[in-house]
Amino acid sequence: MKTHIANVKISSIIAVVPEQYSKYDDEVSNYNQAVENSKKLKSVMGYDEHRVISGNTTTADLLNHGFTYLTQQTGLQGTDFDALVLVTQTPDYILPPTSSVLHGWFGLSEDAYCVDINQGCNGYIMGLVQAGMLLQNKDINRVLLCVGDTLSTRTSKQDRNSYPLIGDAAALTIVEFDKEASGFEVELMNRGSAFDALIIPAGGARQPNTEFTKIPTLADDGNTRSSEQLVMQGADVFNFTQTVVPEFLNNFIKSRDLNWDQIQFLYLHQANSFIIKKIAESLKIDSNKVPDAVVGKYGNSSSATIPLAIAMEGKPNNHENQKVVLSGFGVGLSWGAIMTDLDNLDFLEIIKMNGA
Amino acid sequence: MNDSIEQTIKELIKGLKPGQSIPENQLVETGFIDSFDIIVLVDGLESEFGIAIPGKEISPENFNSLDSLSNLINKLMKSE
Repeated sequence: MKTHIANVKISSIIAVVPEQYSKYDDEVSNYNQAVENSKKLKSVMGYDEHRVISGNTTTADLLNHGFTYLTQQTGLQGTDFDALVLVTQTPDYILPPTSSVLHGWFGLSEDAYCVDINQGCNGYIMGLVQAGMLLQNKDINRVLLCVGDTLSTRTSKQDRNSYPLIGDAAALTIVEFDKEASGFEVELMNRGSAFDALIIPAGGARQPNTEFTKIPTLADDGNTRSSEQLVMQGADVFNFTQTVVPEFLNNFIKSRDLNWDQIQFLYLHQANSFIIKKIAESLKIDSNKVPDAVVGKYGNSSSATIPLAIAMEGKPNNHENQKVVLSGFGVGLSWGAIMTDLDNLDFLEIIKMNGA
Repeated sequence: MNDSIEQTIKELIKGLKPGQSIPENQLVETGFIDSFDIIVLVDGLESEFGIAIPGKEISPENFNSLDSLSNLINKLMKSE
């Protein structure tokens, strides 16, 4: 899908991380790999610490914490939002939709539109597109986009390929109609034939949880995990990020008669520092324009990494005309990009949820 | 030239798999090295040979045998 969504803008972002974190150095002994090699990975991948929830905290809890803070700071309330879009792979329930739960907690009007989208690494782009399309309706002026995941609960601590990467986080983004705004330039892509490149095999209707799906087993890749935990075909996923994604991004820019010098920031999904560095090299873009610090500080929280990266890098009310490209890629496989102007945000902050 | 490149590659892989004998082929196919081993290997190869390995070259095919790896390093050294 390739489209332009006119007269919409991102006006506020708040990212929420749990208080609890885990240090990579403390985890290396869990992995069925030579400790020395696991340590080498630290510098190459940019690992240091990552946020992991404690107790029964859910993605919805992180979002609720963020919403409470956001409304206190801005004076907005639930009824000020005409729609709520939730992007997560860790909903509170199989049913009802977690957007319904949030609708109740946040106090949105009964005629507000609410929807759950099951998406991960490209989820922020998908959510922004959904919000932008809703804003083309004259009765919708402000959308609350909620994204995030708490995948540490679905990842084996003995899986070196996944656990050190994973971080729990959520983010709320306010997307508004503004007749002066340049809007979103959008491209979205999917490759469903590779649906199992990143997968939690059990727990859905295809393979319901049983006593056997809970049993951790040693996989061919030397990692131990159960069928209820995340498994990633690392080599295939990496290859996808280094072939398909750079070509897609270069075409995205070139087809709009632009070059990377005209882009202030390229906010990539924060898969890991190595992937981001290699994509930046392929694009021949100044690496200072491609933030990559999220994984080392918070971990990879799928749909929440782009708003986290923006909140780490940016400042509200900077009054600079910032043309930025946001790009997600991963589970699905799904990938996409949005180009927009990101300036004069009303609110931009990362907060911590104590006790989580 | 190729021999010394192959020797350096072997040493780097030995570092990844201490105490194990290094197969000539099917390194990736058999799971002897996984994607995270490849990443560590890339870092080592870039340092040892003073090259940058483009992301698109970090493919299972190029890392599947000592031969394919040697060819890749040769090609990149010539283009530096």
